Amino acid sequence: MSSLVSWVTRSEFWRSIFRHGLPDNPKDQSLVMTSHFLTHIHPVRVKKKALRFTYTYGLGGLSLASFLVLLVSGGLLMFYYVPSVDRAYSDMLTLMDDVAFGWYIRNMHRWAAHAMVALVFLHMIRVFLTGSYKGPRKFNWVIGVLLLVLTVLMSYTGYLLPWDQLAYWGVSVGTNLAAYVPGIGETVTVLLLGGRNIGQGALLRFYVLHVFMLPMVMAFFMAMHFYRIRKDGGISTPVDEHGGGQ
Amino acid sequence: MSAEQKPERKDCPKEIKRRDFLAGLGFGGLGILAAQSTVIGGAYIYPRGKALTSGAFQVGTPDQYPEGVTYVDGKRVFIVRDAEGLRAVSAVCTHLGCTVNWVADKGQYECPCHGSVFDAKTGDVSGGPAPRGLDFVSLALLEDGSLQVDPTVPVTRSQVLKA
Repeated sequence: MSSLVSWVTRSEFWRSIFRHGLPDNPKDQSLVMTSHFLTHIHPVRVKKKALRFTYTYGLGGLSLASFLVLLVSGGLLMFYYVPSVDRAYSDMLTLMDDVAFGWYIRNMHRWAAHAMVALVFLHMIRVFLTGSYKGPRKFNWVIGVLLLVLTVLMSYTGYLLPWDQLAYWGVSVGTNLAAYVPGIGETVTVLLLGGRNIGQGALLRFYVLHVFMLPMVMAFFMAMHFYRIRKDGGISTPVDEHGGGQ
Repeated sequence: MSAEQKPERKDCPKEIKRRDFLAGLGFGGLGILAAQSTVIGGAYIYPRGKALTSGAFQVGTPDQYPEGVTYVDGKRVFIVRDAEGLRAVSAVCTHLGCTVNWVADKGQYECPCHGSVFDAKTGDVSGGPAPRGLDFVSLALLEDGSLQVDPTVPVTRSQVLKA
């Protein structure tokens, strides 16, 4: 048995995946961090005070977690939802009443969406209050603002999809607000709605934006956001008694 | 590149280096491609034709509409009959697009969302945040005797259908 284990762990295949020995010594322990795809986002060395939970409350990570929940539950919803004015509302009702655990998946999507907007806002407040938007993290703050706008747009486009009265009037008022923008307002509204009224064109456009365009753009900026955290020297740290925070 | 390899050419007033020429060609091409993609992409997603203009629907016959204001259910339009004839008034509030109500007791249109008030006769704003009066829209009598409304075609109040 042990010879089988050692045969497996010595194989080229195994060693191509695990490129270091058991992490029971400092060298292999740091190799675990640097050679692994998921952990390489952390610096090899992390300051102890950067780990204090009450400094960040993990709000950025929780935002990412809710995004992943939304991605999975949203993908599942797409199996039962057709973005057509004749079917959208009844498909939503079918999901709630007939599909096994449909209510569960849909509510998970709904609550995670609400949670994500709240978490992104709280994350932003934390970054602001700890002064983490200052150099060298200025550019990451800019990406963060973009991600906040994208999060709100995701919420807004998803709002129309159930095709009920709340959705219709919410989007009606929203797109009419957009029409007040000087110069380009009318054009933007027609572009968004695919016509002059909220109908099939608008439902399809909001759907495509919601399930493909916006998530794609978001994933790109999220990747950039995380990369910059690492490049800017990890998360900011509180000022210590010698005034030496970063 | 050393000086020996690059002979002086005084006959050519402005020498363009091969590297700059090729870079210009490459980036210029990319620029044209980007501009082209923007124009094509923009034109592609901008709705046209039927998506913008075909809003016409039929609302029954003229004798269904008595003197006064009648709301056409689900169509967001009022058919108004007075001594002069018939007119169609859009029920879409000019403020943020809610459907206005005809309040017969007060003789005015009222928006439930933000309280805009419109005059019964002219459709002009008499209160609330609406920037302009309700729209009069195209109303026509078809050959088979039915009325056709097109809310995408605005008309003036002077346009009356005698039917």
